[in-house]
Amino acid sequence: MTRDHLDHDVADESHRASCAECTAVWTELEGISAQAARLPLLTPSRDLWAGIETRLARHGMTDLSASVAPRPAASRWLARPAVRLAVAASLLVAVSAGITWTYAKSSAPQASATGRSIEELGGNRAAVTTVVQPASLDETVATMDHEIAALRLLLDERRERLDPRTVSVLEANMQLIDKAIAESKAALEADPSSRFLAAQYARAYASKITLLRDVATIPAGT
Amino acid sequence: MTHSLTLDQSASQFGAVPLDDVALAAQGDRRAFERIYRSHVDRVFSVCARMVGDRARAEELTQDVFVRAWDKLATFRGESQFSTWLHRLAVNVILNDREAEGRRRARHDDGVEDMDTISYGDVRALPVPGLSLDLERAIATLPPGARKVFVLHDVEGYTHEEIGSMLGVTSGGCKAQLHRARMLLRRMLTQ
Repeated sequence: MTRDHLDHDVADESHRASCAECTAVWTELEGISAQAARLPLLTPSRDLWAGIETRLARHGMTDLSASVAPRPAASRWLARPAVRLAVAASLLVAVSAGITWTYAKSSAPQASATGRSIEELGGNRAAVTTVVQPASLDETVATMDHEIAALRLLLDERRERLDPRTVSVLEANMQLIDKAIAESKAALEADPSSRFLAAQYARAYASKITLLRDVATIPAGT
Repeated sequence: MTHSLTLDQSASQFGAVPLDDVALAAQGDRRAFERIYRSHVDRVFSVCARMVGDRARAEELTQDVFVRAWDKLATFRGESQFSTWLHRLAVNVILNDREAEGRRRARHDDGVEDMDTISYGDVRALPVPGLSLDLERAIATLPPGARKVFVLHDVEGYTHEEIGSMLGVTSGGCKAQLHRARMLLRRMLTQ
């Protein structure tokens, strides 16, 4: 029996009915298929959890193990990545806007400034007001720069495992965002009372962090 | 030829996952997520290793799958078994893995990714000629396209329609590829 003969006829049920040789081959194929379905599970050569946990920590996820109890639907809603990012972005905007407000009018109460910013931007007041502790513009920017530096470090570690085209697009976008940050900062320094400029400044920072976080979580090779 | 293993049956080999752990992990509880990892890692690693044919890369991909799962946990709505959801996520990560693809192409420099061009002559020489080859090693020796279809259908229990959707081919093309993969395996195993 030739290979071509097998190729065309073994899978043909009507042919097999009259061909003992093809029927025998078919039976062997069924055996291979059955054996494949029973293959045992494989085990990695090492514990992979430590590497996973490091990556989770590096892309900014908070470990709530110590305080977690079953929470209502609203908490589950907050657990969604998109919502977390939105809240994080609101936090950044609120912090920066609040700080800018303080920066411009140092006598104004910070909580009030922060609250107003959240309302203007549709943020989650409950989430923000319990977390945001505005200090100074320099401290807030330093905090965001710290996170950006950590994410940058992770990106550098993963760079070789990402598709070069992804890295290229990322770098191009990063340059645009850095330019926006620099321009917003310069404009804000020229007009420190502008809430619009403060929001622009914060949005630019939030965009950078969001972009870096996204890159930190995409699979290798993407 | 019918395959008796359904996807849910295949996924159930993950073992039971307490829904509480899924809910807790979705809320950010890393210890709950570690428990999920511990109960699923072998299953995820198995599909990675068999589809990629490279254990070292499979370990990296397994980590990618769990990082991705953490990020996507909140999108799990309980409409299927958690294990099924995780398994499908793993397959998506593997199919999108360009690095593994590059390694496979380097090893099988015959350009057989085109699923319609594989012939029985495309099988590479065995690493150790004359050595008896078990099914596991034979699968790893399959050309990439044939290996994908065989692992997804015969090992993991996906239907031709599901595989066709994942790979962007028709279910008829998938069936033909599966038949070729089985014939290649038969040939290797009987050499």
